[in-house]
Amino acid sequence: MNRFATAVLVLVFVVSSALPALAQRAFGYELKVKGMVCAFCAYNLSKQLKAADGVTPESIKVDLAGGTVTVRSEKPLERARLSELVRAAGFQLEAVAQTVEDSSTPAARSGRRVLMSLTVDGRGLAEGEFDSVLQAVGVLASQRSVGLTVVGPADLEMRTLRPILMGRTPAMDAAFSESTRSDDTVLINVVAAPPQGASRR
Amino acid sequence: MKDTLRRLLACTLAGALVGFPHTVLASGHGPVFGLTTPTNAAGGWAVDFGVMGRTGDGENGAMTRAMLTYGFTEDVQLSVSAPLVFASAPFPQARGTAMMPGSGDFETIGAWRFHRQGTAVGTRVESTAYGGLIVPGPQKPAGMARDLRRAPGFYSAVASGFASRSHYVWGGVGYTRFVERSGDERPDILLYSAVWGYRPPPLRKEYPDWDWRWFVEMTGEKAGNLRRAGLEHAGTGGHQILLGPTALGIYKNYAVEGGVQFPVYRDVGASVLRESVRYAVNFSYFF
Repeated sequence: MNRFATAVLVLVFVVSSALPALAQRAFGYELKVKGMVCAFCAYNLSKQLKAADGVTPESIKVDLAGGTVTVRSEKPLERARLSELVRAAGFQLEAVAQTVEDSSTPAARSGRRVLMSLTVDGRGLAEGEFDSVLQAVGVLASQRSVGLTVVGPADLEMRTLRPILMGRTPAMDAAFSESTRSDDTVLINVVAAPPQGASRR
Repeated sequence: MKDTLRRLLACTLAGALVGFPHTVLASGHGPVFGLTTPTNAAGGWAVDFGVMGRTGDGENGAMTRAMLTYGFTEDVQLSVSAPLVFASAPFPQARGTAMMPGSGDFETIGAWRFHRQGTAVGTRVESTAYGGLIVPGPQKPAGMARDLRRAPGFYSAVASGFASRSHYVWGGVGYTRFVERSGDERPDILLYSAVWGYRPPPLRKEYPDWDWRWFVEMTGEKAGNLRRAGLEHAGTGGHQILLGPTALGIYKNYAVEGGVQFPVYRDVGASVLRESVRYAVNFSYFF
């Protein structure tokens, strides 16, 4: 193989390896808001949410009939912060549901609702300290119609998934994506079942 | 003068009987003529530009007014407005429209929404108290009031209402009182109003489609007689109740509203004209 072809192959390998690291994580929120009655209410609330750090302005969708607002952010938003923004617009925040979206994992990309979230220290995980916990997560996920998304360092993929998936039948909806964080934190989410017609990994 | 100021202070502290038709035009969801509850968000601004007029007995009064509103918090806002009168006619002293009075006065109005509760998804009840200052402008009114030595005035009011995706209901009462100046005093005004609004199902669209709703507005105005050189001039006041339809449309951060009212009850003095119709149109921009 000539040098040019080799260089192209190396370049393709490097780029495809780097793609998960370039994946953008986004946090989705569905807010249940009391008191919105008209377009001006929607405008006021949208304006307040746009001012929050990390919020994607074009992601804000107001459903006046349902009394809900969906918004996506590049950074996690605390409930207290969301409540403050809703209050500043003149309304009351009744409930918040969160989704975690990651363009590198099909399950997370669908923006499915998070049912349970675990943040695990990757080093402790590597030493097997949390195997029993991960096995319990696997039991839970295999008994219900849910999915799993795991985000963490690439070298911990198998270490995390093995205790969760080993011996589980039927096949589970699980997806791993490499974290963009600089630490060893592993985020494990049990997410709701995908909408009808969505594909499973 | 001292007695007058003491009376004014007493009226203000007494609360609900000092009045001003309110921030209709900067409310974002309110009627044109009647008292309502405003909704500027914290840090939000609104600019309003309105045209209003009264006709009757072959004469016509018309003016325009610009207003700037700022929301210090989601419950407290301040408005300032300035008028330009095109034509003036000797109708009874009246408020005209909510935050945009039909007079040549400069005004500043503070609003405090002291009660607000979302009762369910898409509904809420709220109440607002208002207080403000009226400063006479350079343009003089028509009729017997033209040569009055005009002094500042004060007002306060309270409005309460229910808002939902389908229906709106507001009621309110207010009172305006002017300071006496060298024995001259402009008539005081007692205002009361009731408004019902409706957004029919085909108009219940989602943001950012156009959001339209219709209102039926009733306003009552009871104006006293003016005083000149310490003497009350009978026949310069009156009591009217007006009723009429209005509409409000909002698109993103723009709004347009307008409507007409006709007197359904009239008992006015012989020295003032009989009003046939009142109209107003207003444009708002929120930012």
